[in-house]
Amino acid sequence: MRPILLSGHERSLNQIKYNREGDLLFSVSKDNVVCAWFSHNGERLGTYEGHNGTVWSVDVDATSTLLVTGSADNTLRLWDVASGQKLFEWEFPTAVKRVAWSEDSTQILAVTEARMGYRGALRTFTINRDPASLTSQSKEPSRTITFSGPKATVAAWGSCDEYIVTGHEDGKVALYYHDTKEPETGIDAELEEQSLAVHEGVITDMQMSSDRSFVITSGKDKTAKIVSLKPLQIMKYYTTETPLNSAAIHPTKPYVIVGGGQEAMNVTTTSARQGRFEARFWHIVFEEEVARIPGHFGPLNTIAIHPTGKGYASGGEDGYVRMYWFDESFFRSKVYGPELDLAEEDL
Amino acid sequence: EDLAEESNLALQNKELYLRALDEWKAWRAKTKADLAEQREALGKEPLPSLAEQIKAEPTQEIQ
Repeated sequence: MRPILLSGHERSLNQIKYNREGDLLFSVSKDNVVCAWFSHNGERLGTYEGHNGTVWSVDVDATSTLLVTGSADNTLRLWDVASGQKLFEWEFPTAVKRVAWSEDSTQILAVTEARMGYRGALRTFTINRDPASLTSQSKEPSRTITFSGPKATVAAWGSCDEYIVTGHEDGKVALYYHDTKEPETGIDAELEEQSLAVHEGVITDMQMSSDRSFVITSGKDKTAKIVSLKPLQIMKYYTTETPLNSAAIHPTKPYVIVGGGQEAMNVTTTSARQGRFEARFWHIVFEEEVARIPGHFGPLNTIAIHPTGKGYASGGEDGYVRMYWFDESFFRSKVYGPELDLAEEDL
Repeated sequence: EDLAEESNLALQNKELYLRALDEWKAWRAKTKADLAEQREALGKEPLPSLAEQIKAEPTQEIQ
């Protein structure tokens, strides 16, 4: 399995995302640039330029028409995927740390940082998808959830956009009911439907299963966990020996991929091997590590799995995206034997 | 005796693994049924697999 090395960024990667068909991969980095890549050969399709700060988060809609990005320049931007043109911009008092499209691609959410007296908040916006007037969007959020307690670091939409799930700096995962017609604005404590202490420390990533019925979270506490949403409950634990920055669920094989690594400043004080900059494959049910793929020269900051499960990509602190297509043997292999194999329909 | 013990341990382990697999399958069957119910209540079509969705859509080739 040879990687395709995507070297278009000058600084560390923050997030990578495949589009729904998996023919494109989007990446955002500390170098302020948003890149789009062809996934079959790693050729760069283009860039989306204009952000004046680290771009923290990216998401593409289900039709690969519109792209949304959140940045440390305190803006949330809407882009035309094909032309690279900026369509709209929302400005906030603090950085935008996480963005996500709703399942039906009619709404977006944005999580903003808590800083300089401003509380962290999650805002949702209804997107005008009329091709004739994409540049005219409502400046006002359809709802705002202000975090009175620990700020949210990640967030995502649940199945049918009925719930919003947030992951927090203290390791909490919370569930908010989301009524598209009458979205409620307020303080998190009043709106939160259910919450659960999932990690001991910052939640670094949260990715949905393909049917959006459960999530995988990763944390600085060196663990990744599968959490069911209704009700909120930890189903599986994956305990590693390194702080984790990202975790993703394979859609067709019984694996999750997790990645992270000690930050560079801590590595030098121990040994280079301690960095552990590998993507780790864990069996989703048996909670055992089955493989490691090295390659990055620094911590893995973000992992994305191709929507059909044919490959995966990782973005590192080293500024590179490594994209892999699985060999045929990956799909044929039954690591635990045929009797303990899990069929695609049971995932 | 050692072989018998080893085989016994392997059998016990296998039972644990099989139980974990059964629990997972039961949980997923329930979440999938709940999801189908939720979609029906909202008047949405049952969720096809991603592969089915992509197969059903026309592909556009860009030169």
